[in-house]
Amino acid sequence: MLDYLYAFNEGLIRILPLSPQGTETFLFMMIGMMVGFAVGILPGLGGATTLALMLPFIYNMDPTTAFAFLLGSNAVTATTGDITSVLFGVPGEGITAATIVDGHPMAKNGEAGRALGAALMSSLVGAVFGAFMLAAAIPIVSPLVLSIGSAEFFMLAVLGITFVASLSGENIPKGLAVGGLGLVLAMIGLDPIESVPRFTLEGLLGEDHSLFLWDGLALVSVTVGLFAIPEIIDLAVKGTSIAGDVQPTKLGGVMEGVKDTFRHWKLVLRCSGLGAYIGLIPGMGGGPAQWMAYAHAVQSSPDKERFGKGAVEGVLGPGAANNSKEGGSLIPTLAFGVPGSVSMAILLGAFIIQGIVPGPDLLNPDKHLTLTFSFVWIIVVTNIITVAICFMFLNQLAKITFIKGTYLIPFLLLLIYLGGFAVKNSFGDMMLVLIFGMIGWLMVKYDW
Amino acid sequence: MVIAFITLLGVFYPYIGKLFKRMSPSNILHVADEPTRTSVPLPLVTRIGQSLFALCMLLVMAYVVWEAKWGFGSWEPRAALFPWVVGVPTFLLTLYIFIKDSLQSTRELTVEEFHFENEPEVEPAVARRRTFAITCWIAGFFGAIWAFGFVPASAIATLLYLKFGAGERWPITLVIAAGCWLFFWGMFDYALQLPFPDGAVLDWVSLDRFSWRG
Repeated sequence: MLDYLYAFNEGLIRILPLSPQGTETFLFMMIGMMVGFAVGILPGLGGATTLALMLPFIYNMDPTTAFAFLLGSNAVTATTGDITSVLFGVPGEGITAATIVDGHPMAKNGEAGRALGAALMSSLVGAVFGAFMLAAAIPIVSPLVLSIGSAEFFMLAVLGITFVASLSGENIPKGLAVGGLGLVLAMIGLDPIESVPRFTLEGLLGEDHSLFLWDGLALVSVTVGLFAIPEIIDLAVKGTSIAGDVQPTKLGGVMEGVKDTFRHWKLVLRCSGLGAYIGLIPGMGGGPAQWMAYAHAVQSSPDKERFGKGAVEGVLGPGAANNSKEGGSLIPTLAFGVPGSVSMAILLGAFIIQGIVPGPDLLNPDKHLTLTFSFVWIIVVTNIITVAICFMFLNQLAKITFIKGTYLIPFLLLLIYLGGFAVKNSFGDMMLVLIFGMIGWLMVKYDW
Repeated sequence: MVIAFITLLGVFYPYIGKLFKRMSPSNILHVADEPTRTSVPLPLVTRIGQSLFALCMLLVMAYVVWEAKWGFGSWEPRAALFPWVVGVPTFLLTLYIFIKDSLQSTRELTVEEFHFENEPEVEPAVARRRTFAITCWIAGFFGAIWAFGFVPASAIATLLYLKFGAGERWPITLVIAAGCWLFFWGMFDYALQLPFPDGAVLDWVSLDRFSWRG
């Protein structure tokens, strides 16, 4: 138990600027947080896109700094995503859509400040709750994970694949086919046992160029292409600013919203628990969490008629749940290597880059337990800072969404190609970004 | 056993979910509130597009199966085992999807989706033109980076896009292009010293990468 307490304490010290190493980690966490902050505000660009964009930059970082950078950027996107949901009815993230239902009517009723105060404070409470749930789960899941062998891990891998079915919605054959395609893409390159090149397109590309594929496809290039390019095409097709033609409203009553969070503390805690629990289930993600929390807020209220017209509980529930799921989804990711969400799947790529195998090592006090606890503190610290900054600059933040889409597109495109290039410093990876971007867009268009 | 049970639950989750949804009392009470679904015909362009995309997926999986059996699999069967196991069912699935998508002439929409589709934010013809244009620009940015190198391309491609793709005025075009160049040069070349290769054009005219830096 002392080992856990020591690691818990050390995890915090590692991310604070108390030593040169801690200062570097804190600095990168702030940079990541700023990126996540901006991306959370920009509708359409989600936490998964941020992680995919930031992944190439962690190659030369130590593990704590790398994960502070990545988690810092990912942990705040849901918090800032609530801002545009409330102000413009445009969700900053897919996982902040439920906040619109009551948050935007509140803004229309002249209670934008109160709605934002409630959304931000409940987000903070939710994030802290999820993070500490992760901390509390570590000693419990540790003995379980340590007793798991190869056979169980195989079954867990199969379990992870089966969640493709629940992610596919009503189109299960397409979901399974894309899952199969993903497995095939993972096989490109040298076979790890026989060292035979598989699917390296030697006949098509020639011997020189096919060598590029011997290493396999870089996860970053594929994910950057699949997630970011379709968003850019969407933005260009809309031809407006990212907030569309919506006009900003005046803010006021922010502190009233903060007080609402504590007035309805039981609801906020229940929804935080719900979010963390849903985050724990691989493949579920933040989408169901926010809607279930909203449904719970409606169901537990004696005055159901107010919902949809500007009930503050309808903002508090989803706000808490979409942030607490972050800590919850880290539990299966760290303990079993089974990602709880798309963001966590990309985060698994970061583990590979850092040479860390998720599972027992991350829960072992002699190995990476301190790193695991630093994840808890990263979520807590980044959310506290983000909420504080949001309160200070709410009016200015709202203006970002009115930047014309055409001004953003060149910058985003260059950043995406840079992300691909930085993996191996090769044009081949940029080509992969382009190819998978087009495939991703077609998949979205044709409902794959 | 526990994991196996959870796995089976995962496999049948969508069906169980549907069953519970149907049996839930609140669902029975709110049957009237359930969105009415309506069947709408699929436009010919969409039908052709989705069939072609499904065909491409089918061809990719056919290649996977062929390679696993008659390509590298013919001289190293052990390396082909996993591709074969994954490839065959996925090939069959893509074949099923191709047939289904080719024959599909209508699709089901809720009333809200139906209204949304009938009052689109952007006219379909404009959307198609813009999609084609942005696709060309996305490829164009890649071409510019390949031709001029990363840092010069950040200014050139941005300038060309803003002026000729987005039709922006010269002052804003120049400011954003310069800002992009400054950001990418300052952050990634000067500060992080990423080893950007020279552009192909600079190679052809025998300019080394330092010549544009002054």
